[in-house]
Amino acid sequence: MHARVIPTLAALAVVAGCSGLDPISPPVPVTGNADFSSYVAIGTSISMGIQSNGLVEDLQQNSFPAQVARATGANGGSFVQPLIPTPGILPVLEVVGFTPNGAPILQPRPGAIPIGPSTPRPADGYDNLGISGAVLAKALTKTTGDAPTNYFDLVLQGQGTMIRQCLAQAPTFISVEFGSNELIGGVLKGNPLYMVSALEFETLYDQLLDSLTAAAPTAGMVLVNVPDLPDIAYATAVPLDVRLPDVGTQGAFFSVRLRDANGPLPDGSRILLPAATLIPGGYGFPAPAPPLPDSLVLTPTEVATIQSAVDAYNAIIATFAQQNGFALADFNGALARAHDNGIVVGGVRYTTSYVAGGLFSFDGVHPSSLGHGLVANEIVRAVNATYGATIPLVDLAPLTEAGSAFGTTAHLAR
Amino acid sequence: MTTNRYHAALAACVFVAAPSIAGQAHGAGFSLYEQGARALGTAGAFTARADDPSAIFFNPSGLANVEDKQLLISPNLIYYKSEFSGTAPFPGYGVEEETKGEVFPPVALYYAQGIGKKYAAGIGIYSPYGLQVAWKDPADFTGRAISSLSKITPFYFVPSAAWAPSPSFRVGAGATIVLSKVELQRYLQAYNPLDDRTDDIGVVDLESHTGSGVGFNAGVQWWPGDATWKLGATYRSEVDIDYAGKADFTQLPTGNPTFDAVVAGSFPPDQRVETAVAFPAQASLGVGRQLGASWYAEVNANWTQWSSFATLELEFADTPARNLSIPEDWEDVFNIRGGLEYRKGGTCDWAWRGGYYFDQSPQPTAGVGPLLPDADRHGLTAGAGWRNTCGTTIDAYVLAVLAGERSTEGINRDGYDGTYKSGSMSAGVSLGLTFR
Repeated sequence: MHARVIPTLAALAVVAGCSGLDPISPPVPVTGNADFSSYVAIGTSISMGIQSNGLVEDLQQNSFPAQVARATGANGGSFVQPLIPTPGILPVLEVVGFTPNGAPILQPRPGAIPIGPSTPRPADGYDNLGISGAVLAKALTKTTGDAPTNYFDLVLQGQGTMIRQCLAQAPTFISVEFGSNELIGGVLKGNPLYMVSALEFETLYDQLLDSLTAAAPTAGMVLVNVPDLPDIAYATAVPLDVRLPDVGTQGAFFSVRLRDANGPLPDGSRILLPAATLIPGGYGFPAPAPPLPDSLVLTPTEVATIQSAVDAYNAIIATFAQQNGFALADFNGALARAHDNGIVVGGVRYTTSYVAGGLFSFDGVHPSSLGHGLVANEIVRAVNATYGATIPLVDLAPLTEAGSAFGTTAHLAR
Repeated sequence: MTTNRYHAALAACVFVAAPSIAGQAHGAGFSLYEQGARALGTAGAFTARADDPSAIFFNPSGLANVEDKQLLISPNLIYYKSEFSGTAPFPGYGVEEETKGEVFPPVALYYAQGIGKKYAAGIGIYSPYGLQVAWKDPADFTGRAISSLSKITPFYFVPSAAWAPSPSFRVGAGATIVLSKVELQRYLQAYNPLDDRTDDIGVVDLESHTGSGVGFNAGVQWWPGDATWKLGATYRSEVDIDYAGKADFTQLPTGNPTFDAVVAGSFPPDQRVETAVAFPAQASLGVGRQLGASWYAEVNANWTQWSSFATLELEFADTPARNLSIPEDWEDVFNIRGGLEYRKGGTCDWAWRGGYYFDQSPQPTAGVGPLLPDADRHGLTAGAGWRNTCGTTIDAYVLAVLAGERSTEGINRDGYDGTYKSGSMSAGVSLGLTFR
């Protein structure tokens, strides 16, 4: 009976509409009131596509500006970045193994350091003008690079400031991503004194937007806000407690709270990533072991100070976006969600955990390719909401595959 | 220190996202209404008229209509298939998936016996919930980290009794004893920093032992006057099942021995797992009317308390840190069933039936996923029946379930977005025998 009934039911099911679901093609991006015919990205190392302490072509292809450009069909499908051949400038860090107790072993990607980009600078400048180390003051004035990376030279090539080269392209749309570098010094040096004041940031941001809107009055913009820097993997990778075997009891462990010169670190402190190499040598353990250096610790007060500065910056950015009718991309919110609960993609939860989480590259500061994809989608959502656009979200599946090569269709066959 | 932090972080990444339990069935959620061919001919609208042994399911008070000893066997064949087309951000545009397109053979079995003029008793064995979702080529299915197989198989044993205090009024009730098993399979994936990609690192198969639970059902029928009008109501209680079983964790090689060694360091052992499922309460109100000598029409309004499927808990005996509480947040829903029967002159041996139902999905959009891609359903049925004077009955039906396309609207809680389309066909017969 089965032999006849089953095919009959299947055939009836087809007739009844059980089948026939067509594959969904990517919708043609409709950019609404936004014009991506000349899209330029300005900003920091995040815009630039730095990952794992270096700049290299295969990872630059996944910078969020590049992903936004692909999603919008910007610049006639040719969004030009200063692509650096492998192993990158500096050679990107790669995980090559793990210590016996599970700590990652990082090494620079092997190979000779290239002398510069493989893509020649277009006459009017690169479309991605993000530069590692760029703060607003440098974006407005700096024209030359600094050793050893010379990132400003690499991008600007002596042809004027970031802003000048942006405007030289008669941009119709600009992504503006500043603020992290003004504040990151407070994290990297373990001291909020190394941050630029909100007042100065506001003044320079106003100056930057004045320059852009004066020369490109019809250009649309998306302003990217600043992530909560104490939550980056660089500041959360090292736990406050060390678990040690209890020599008196087989198989038992006890915890030791690490300390700085002021004593055991209170809850809410952050131990910065470079301390991971000191702790196995005894730093931070109870006296007479040496304490963790202050430069590698953020106290709860310092954390709160940095978070307040981030909030102040983001209020400024949000105000500018509102006043000018620009889109506001909530990078801060995306990182906060990732930090609190992870981001689930296809049933896999990616987190901000150092190395294992998948959302930060191996320097613990810059997003991974997948992290860039999430930022790109924040931008797409913001542009859609502000400019009446219906730009499809970025496809994250290729970013979970080896090499994160953009444009691959390999995932379709998974 | 950083040392074991990697292991802990890896473990968290791998095991936090987890499946919920569900099967795929013919009714909304994972309910299954194919409990008698005569009733299915009129789309299951049978609460008011239930007057054969299948009344044990449809309305136990209807048992009081049964005289003599009656056996009713109702096998079904149900073909189910679900398709999926992906969108960004994951798994991406152009991705197509489908379930295996399987046929399920649920059988309902009833025995009832009249006791004098006013009493009757019987027992039914059936499965009002269940079935399964098995995706094709599970090792390549893009949603395999969420679920590649979910299967739930409850069997209800329902001894029931009914009493007719008057010729027009009946009450009935039964005890519900449920035995059930659950199977789940999903792949474990994790970010592999050595190769900068996400790898399959394992597969987990959860298979429960047989769990059990109890409940009850009850109903009334009132056929006033000459029984031109028929009214009925029934209630089937929620049944809670606690399951214990085994979770088999099998590590899969990624092609990178170094990463595999790290994974092995935090890979969970096979272990005991416990979970629970609440088969929801249902209530039904039915109104039927004889239209002339030949026609009978009935409409049922049914309510299912799917809000009982609020969360799913998975508790692992050896690794309690990986216990899970998954929000499902289903909602109570109604479905409407209506059908017509034509029996020439009211006495002909043959009857012809047709019906329609609308079944509202209880599943919130965020939960629509590979475990159970539910959608509102429209069901069209046709049926026929034959009987003789010896009390032998043969009924048959076919049912086409049309579930519209349902998009996840970009908010699937597992980050797996696209559009599902499901549909099914079923056919069944009921053979009734009377022993005097």
